Amino acid sequence: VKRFGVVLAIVALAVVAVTVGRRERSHFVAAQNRHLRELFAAVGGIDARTIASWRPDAANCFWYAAGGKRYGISLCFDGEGRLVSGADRRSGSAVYWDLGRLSSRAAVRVPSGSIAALNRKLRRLQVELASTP
Amino acid sequence: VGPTAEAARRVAVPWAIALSVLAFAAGSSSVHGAVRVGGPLRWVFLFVLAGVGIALAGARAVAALGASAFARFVAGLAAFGVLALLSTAWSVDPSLTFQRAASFCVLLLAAATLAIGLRPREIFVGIAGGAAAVAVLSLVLLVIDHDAAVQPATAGSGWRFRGFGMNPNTAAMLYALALVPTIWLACSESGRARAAWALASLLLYVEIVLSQSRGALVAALAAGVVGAYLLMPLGRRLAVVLVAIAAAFAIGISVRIDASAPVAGRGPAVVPPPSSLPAGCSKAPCSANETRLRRLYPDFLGVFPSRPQDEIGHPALGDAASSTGSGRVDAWKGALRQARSRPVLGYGFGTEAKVFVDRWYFFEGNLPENSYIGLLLQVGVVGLLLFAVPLFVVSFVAVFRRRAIGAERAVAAAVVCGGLVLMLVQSFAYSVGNIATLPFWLSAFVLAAGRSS
Repeated sequence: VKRFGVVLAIVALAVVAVTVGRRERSHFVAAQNRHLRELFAAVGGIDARTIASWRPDAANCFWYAAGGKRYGISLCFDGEGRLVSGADRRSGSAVYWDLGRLSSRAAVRVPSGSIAALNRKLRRLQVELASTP
Repeated sequence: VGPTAEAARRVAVPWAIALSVLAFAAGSSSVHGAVRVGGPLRWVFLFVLAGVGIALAGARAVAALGASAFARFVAGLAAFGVLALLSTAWSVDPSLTFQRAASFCVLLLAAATLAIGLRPREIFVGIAGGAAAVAVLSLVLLVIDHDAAVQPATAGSGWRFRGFGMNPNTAAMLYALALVPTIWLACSESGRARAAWALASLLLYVEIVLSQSRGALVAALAAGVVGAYLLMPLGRRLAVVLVAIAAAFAIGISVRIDASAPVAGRGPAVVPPPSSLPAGCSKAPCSANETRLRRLYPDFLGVFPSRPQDEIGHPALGDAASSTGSGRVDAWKGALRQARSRPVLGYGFGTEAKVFVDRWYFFEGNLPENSYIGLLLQVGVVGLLLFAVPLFVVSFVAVFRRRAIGAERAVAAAVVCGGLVLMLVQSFAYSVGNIATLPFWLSAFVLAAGRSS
């Protein structure tokens, strides 16, 4: 009987743990999304004039000049156009916001076609830069 | 209260089973609304049922063990195991968390039952024999495939012996934990067995030194000091042994392998530094379209000059060199910042490698290389405490009751203390596949079980 009381207590603790754990996850996602939204707004869109750099791989990461820094803000999108991570270097040290494997909960999303179009333009620009004497 | 609770148990458990059956039926129903509700609900019921079953079995097992220190140790770790399994519910990768947590629970179960069923000496013979076999295999590998057994020099450090391990730290971790049991076997045996164990001890020490794994060396030092303190009477002989251990450590740490060998380390990406790239279209050949593109993006400098894992501290980004050496401290700070986002229960057991992202130019690794921080990331403060408290308690009790524990438990305490030190610089004690995890937990349960041969 005492054992059953212990079991009930354990189950109650387990329910509390699951509730707290899931709430922490929700807060985490909300915080990451809030900061990513701020970064996206500060840049003013994926195709902003301030674009400074890119990495031509599957990660679809773009860097933008901001706050007097050449690579002040970075934004990374997944294949479906979801903003999954970003970094803010405007203060001098890099601060990262990253949804990691919770990318399906991203709040900011751009048409994947716009990423492909930007990639095409930057590839052309890159070729030109490389061929400039 | 007693009969009421018993009656509740008799009623509640069958009800829970019946509701689970109903939820499973709803989850695979032809009624769309029932599927929508029953689909997720069946998994909730499954976990509740599993939790009740495990808790009942655990409570029965703990009751059978009585109120002994071993029962408390087992109960503490069982609580950690349950938390690890539960973290599936909030994990960033639920299937991975469930697999890792289940395999970790199996490891704990195996270590606990072996510690109860076997003589401690037999366990130490297994640990020492396994480590010696790895050390011999490493030497064989060195002879037949030098490149596989030796990690080339990198920027700032010379070549390192990795032998049979994945990297130089891998096998060294095992050797650090197995060294005291091997030396103890050499001291307690006679004849050829003594010579064999003594040779094995020497081999383990030499390979730790050649691996240049400072963490393993410090862990071996901690294990050696604790082992000597617990195994030997206080007096001049103990002092001499402690000095010898300190000397062996000093020699090991001062050995510097020539770093002048060709460097195969990291470097900036192949793209020239951004400052050398022109902005604007001031030079030919620029087509009309390209001119328009350059006007459109006047700040464009080209491909980002760093790999993803080098973004912080990369010289080409204008970052001041914030770190030297292995950059481990910077990685720890970054991991702690990540842990602060989910401080109570973490990101889910087994997700350390998924959650931690190496972005430091001076750091090379896909884990923070600190088990305490790794636990904080995975299962938060609650999980870290459930994991670490039982281990620290049995270690402290052993050290402060040195007269009350036998030789085998002293050896086990040495291994556990070495492991607790190793956890400061390696992510290993909760990773079932790690080379040092099984010896660590076998020793921990031997120490807690309090049996002697």
